[in-house]
Formats: sequence, C-alpha cells, structure tokens
Amino acid sequence: MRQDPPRLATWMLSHLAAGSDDALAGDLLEEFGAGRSRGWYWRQVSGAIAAGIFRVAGNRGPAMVFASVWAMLAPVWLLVIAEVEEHAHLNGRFYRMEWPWSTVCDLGLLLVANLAFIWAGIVLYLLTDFAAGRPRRPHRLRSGIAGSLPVLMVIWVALITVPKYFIDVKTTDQRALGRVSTYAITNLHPAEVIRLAPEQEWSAQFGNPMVPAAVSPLSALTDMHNSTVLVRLLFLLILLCALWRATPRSRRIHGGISA
Amino acid sequence: MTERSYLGEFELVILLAVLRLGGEAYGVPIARELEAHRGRDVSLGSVYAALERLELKGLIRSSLGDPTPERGGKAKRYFVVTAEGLRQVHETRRVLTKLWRNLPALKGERT
Repeated sequence: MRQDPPRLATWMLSHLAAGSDDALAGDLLEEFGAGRSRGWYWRQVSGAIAAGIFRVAGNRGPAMVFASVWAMLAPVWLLVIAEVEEHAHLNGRFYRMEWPWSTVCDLGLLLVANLAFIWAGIVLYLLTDFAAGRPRRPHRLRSGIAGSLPVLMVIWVALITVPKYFIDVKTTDQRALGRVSTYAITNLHPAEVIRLAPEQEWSAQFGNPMVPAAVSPLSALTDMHNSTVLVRLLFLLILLCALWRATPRSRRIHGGISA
Repeated sequence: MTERSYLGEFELVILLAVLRLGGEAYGVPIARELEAHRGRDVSLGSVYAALERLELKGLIRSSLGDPTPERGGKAKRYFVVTAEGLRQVHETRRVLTKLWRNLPALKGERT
C-alpha cells in the first residue's frame, strides 16, 4: 500500500504557504497517490512556500519600500527630539521629580516621540496610497496604528532585558546604575547607545556625556554607525508590522470569484 | 498610462493550457500540460500563484468541484478562461506574430 506523504511537509504546506488553499493540497495528494515520490512532494511544498513568500512580498512591496525610506529618517527625528529635550531642559526637570514620576515622564516623552514618528509614517503612506487611487478603509488605518504600539512595547521590553550584555550606555548620572537599562530605551539615540562586541562584558561607563555623533539633520541622515543602523532597523520593524496590518491582503483564489 | 493588454510568457502558457483542457482544467492537468510542452518539472505552487494573478485580473474564473477520497477529501478547483482572457490571448498572439514576421533571418536558422 502506498505510504502517506511526509507529514511535516503537509503541515508546512498548510501553515507556511501563504495564499494556498485546499485545492493545491488536494492536487499534491492526488499526484502523490498516482506515484510521485516523497522528494517530489517535498519539492512541491517548498515551491508553494516560496511562491507564497514572493506573492506576499509583491503585494506588500510598496509598503516595504516606504517603511525602509521612512526608517532612514528616524535618526533625524531623534535628533530633533534630543534638541527639543535639551532646549526645554526636560531631562533636568524629569530628574528632579520623585520616582516613579521621573521615569514615567522620561518614558512617556520618548514613547510619544517614537509613536508620533511611526504614526506620521503610517498616515503619510496611506495618504500616498489614497492619492494613487488605492483608498484604504478606515479600520485598516486604525489597525495599523493600534498594531504599532504593542510592537514598540515588545521592542522596548527586549531592549531592557536582552541586550544589556552588548549595549553600553554612557550617562552622566553616576548613581544611576539601576537605571541604565531604562536609559537605554529612553535614550535610544545614535549619540548615546553604542553596540559593543558580544565578548565584551557589560559595563556602564560613567563620566561626561558623549559628543553627539550626529549634530545636524544631514549628518544624522547619513550616519551609518552600528547604533544608528540598529535604531533604523527597529523603526523599520515596527513600521513593517504596522503597514502589514494597514495594507489589505490580495483576494485569495478560494472564496474569490467563483462561477 | 495605458493598461497592458498582452500577457507574460508563463501567464500565456497557462491560459493556453486552460483553453486546451476545457472543462477538465484544474491544478494537476494544467501542471501536466505545462510539463509536457515545456519539457521540465513545474511547481504546482507557482501554477496556482499565476492562476491567482490571472483571476485577480479577471482573465479566468474558478469554481470548486466535489471533494474526492483520493485527494484526502479536498475539492478540485476548476478554471475557465473569461471573455477578457480570450481577448488578451488573441491580442498577445497578434503582437507576437507581428514581431516574428518582422524579424530578420536569424543566424543558423533553416529556411
């Protein structure tokens, strides 16, 4: 009696092949039952998964390009925020507050600043889409905006917990060893976060604040230090997740236009 | 910008296969037809991806058949070419024929 097709391949087909439907799975079973090899079955499943990835990337291509361009601008925005902070002496004001208000205000300002940049990107993308004659439904916009918040929070939590072994933060606050990880997320800025080689031990370096790597919007835009690239990648990730939700999927074959 | 009214190579051969198969055009025979004429293995996933694109463009339409035991209880999806699909097949043939006719004699070509 003919063996069943590889279970793992069948599972991968149903879970990883975007846009595939029962008809494709049935076709593969029919061909396998007619004498095709397990290798053929695996090749077909791999091909279906690859085709699904290309299809998804093709549908979301404009969103990916926009997110990449917008994320490139993130260091400029962070520089603007840093200058506003410095101008208004916000860090000093927050520092004089009682805990937890000092941390809440510090985090709140950066949360608002980061979200403003991300949400402005989402709205701009959807406006350009609208201008190009591809209007989106309002719930897609809401979905994208709402989706960016949990992703940002997850990244912040990850920045607090995971990378303390390879992120070195320079701060003027010598008593603030316990706040260093907080500092890392509230000051996720090219001038203040440096990526170290993994073999280097974690150490908070105290002393004078670093001379900002980027001092003008143009230098921030062209800054390609590891820390700046890291910042851009994080914003890119958040934007991609948000725009993924804001962009409708293409109609799939099943349940689509039927005779 | 004018809308493109001729088809890509893979889209064209799939439409021709669907036309040739008539009422029996579903994934397996379409893929076999392509394999027979192109002389190499065809990925059913890429065939379905192309069929989806064609359906989104309104060049084909599909309907589900009955589930069968040899397919694990999964139904076949039958495809038929729409009037617009047929028009684009003719248009593509017209463009290609015109291009071939105006081609100078190729090196090594038998006359």
